Amino acid sequence: MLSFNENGIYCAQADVYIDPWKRVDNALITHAHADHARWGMKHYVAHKDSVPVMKLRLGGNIKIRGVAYGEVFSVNGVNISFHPAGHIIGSAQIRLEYKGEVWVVSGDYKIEDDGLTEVFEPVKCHAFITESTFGLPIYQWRPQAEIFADINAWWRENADNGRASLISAYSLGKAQRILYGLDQSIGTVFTHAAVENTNAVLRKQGIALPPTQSAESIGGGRKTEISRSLVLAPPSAISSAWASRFEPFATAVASGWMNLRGGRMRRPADKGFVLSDHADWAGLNLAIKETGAERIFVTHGYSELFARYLREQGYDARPVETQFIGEESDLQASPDVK
Amino acid sequence: MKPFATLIYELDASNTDEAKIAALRRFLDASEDHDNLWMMALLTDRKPKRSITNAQLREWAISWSGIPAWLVEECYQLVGDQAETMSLILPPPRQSSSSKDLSDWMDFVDKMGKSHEEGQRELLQQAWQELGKEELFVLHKLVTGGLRPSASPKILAMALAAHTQLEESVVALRLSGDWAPDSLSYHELLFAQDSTDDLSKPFPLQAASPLDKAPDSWANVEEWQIEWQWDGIRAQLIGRGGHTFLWNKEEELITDKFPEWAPLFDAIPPGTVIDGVLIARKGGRLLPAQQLRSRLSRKTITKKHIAETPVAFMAFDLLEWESEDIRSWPLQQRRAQLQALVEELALPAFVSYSAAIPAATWEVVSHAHSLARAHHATGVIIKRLDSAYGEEVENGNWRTWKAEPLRANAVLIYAQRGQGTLLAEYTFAVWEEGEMLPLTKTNQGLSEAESKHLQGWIKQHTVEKFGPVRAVVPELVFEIEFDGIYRSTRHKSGVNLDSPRILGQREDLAATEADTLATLLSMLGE
Repeated sequence: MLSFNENGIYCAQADVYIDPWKRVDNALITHAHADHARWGMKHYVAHKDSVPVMKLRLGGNIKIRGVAYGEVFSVNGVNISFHPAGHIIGSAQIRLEYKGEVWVVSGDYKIEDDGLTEVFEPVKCHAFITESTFGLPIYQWRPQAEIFADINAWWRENADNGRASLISAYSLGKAQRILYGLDQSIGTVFTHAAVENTNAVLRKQGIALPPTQSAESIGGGRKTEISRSLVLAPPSAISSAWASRFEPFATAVASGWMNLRGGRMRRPADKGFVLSDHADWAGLNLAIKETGAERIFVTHGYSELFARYLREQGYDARPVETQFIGEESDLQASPDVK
Repeated sequence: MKPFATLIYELDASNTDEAKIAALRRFLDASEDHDNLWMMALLTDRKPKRSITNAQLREWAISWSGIPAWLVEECYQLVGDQAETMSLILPPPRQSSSSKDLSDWMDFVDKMGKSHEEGQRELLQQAWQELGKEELFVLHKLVTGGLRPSASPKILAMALAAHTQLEESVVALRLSGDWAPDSLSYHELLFAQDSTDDLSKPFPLQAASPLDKAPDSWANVEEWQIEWQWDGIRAQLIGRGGHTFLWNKEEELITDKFPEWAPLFDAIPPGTVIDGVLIARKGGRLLPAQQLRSRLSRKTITKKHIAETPVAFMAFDLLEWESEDIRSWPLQQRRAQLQALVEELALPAFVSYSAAIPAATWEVVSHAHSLARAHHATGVIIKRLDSAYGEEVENGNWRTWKAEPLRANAVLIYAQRGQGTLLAEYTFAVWEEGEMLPLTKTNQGLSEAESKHLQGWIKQHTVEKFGPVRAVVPELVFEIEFDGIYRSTRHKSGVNLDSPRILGQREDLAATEADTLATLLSMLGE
């Protein structure tokens, strides 16, 4: 029912693409990250919680329709519905059903309940198109409560030593995930404009984010408050002169890539936390099993290796080349994607 | 175990001395004395012998995890370390954390060493159900004997000094002696009333700071002493109370590596400490330091080793004389005393006096520097004649001026995916009878951007892949810089380069214009 062509993942019967990377007429979008929601499509359909952020990023005049999770609409006999993917707010797996055959495109997903994002829902299907960003058994996440305990302990220690705590975080997804887990009794949370703009859009659509203050308006006389604060900013800002207003400070990166010592040692950050919005090895395997699918297409990540493993487990699995990136690619060169 | 694992990870991840000291202090503040003692032992390389091999660890972990061996191999290629890979692929522990502390786990390591293979496997399986991945990484390193914490004894001494309020030099002296964590307590080691009864204790060595350009604009050459920097191993020779001790720079006792000197030790007057460098010397000619290192790495030294690699101790400074610490004497005075001592000893096959290079002007010094390689020296050392022997590098009293590095133009033939992702290792070749002969392998010298660019090229010019290694079209020429070149039977080319790094691509050269092996052989200076 679905095929892979130079524009993206294509359903010929409905004439729609899922997360296309070239300009097409009809695009179904799993989530608002830039490698999945690209500019230039004539019509977009996405989960309703993705719509405001997509308008912020792609322009207010895009033609976009928002749908609810589980809401079914039909295009030329193909029943299409969006289901929670647990990746970021508004992220969805997309289910397509035609004459009793069901295919599901996962987009990016994680299994763990992060408390902020609608929890991943297994969807029964015949064919499942899965990501594999962390599709190797060396990637196994600890529960997020433990990671947040580590992050808060790091923040508290910095605050007690008169240093601000700067965490690299992409404006959509990771920033809100971290924000949600912070212990606000330690100090003020400041945000870079890129993060704050996204937060404002999310708050406006009724998502209850913990309080933040814009770092752009910091004036004098707040030295103590700054030294006890935590700052969420994109990596590019943290490595630039922008960050000097918080001196002295310590820096951290929160990413799945921090799971390897090599990944930590090569980062110019003082501290690495293993925190990802992508499923780990156990999560990927569990998700695949729960779909009941026999045919598995493995996209971005360790696609060849993971597909080979799945074949040994009895699945009809093969790797597929896409132009998706996975977890913040500039935190580390992405693995060899063939 | 968790605090120690955290410490190891923090030391790895921190890139400043300050951060390393802070991490050490956090550990010291939060841990019991017996754990602190073990931490100090492990950071000063007093670690237990390995009880199992990496191959055993790998086999058992694969079977326990149920992950196919080929997939584990792929993971290893990416991670680059067996102990770490195995800690990552094991299923998460059933208990969330273990209450056992570092000393308990050192008992475990001891038990591993005393068990038979089946017992070892069962012990490890128990540990796998108790420990998280960071702790497992450290435990795997301990049982396979591969733990290498990224903190020097110097950093540890600084942290301990801050923690205990003791003088740093006192801590360094006490840390450097012959002790083991099961032979004494934390208090006995650090706070023993009289440390002088430990006759073996060496002094912290004075280091030299590098000089990157010629000192020709400096004033008063007569205030400085010029010496060859011998290509050897820095060592400290101690004679006290009828015993003789030889320490290397890492403060390992290496006395027993020189059985040929044992009958001569009595000649050293009691209460003498000499600073110098061990060199391998045969028939009046210096041998490569590598040959000396290889002799030192032997567990037992045979007559054959002694005959093949005769060693001399080139004495260049005197730190203790007639049981008096004379480090505060000016260099000139220490040297005069040293020279008199060495002449009186008259044992040139054991101790030689490293004479100064007479230099009336800085031009003469520059000239000597340019001749360093011909003298089998790695450069010259310039020392202030009126200076005391100190521990601070920053004082600038000792400056090392390295000989100009050697260079060769070689062709890129293989690239190996690095540990992790970005750092790749490149193999370069030179010509020998019309064929490309692998010369050296390095991952040093390219910037991240250059590396990225090169990897793009490599992907498009791969002719063959074997595992993580790609053979590429041999057409790019790079200039390689290195500090020395030695004969080697382990290398196909017959030579081995010291610290090779990539200077840059020579886009102006075709592969056919790269150097030949003959050019490299001419650099041997034979």
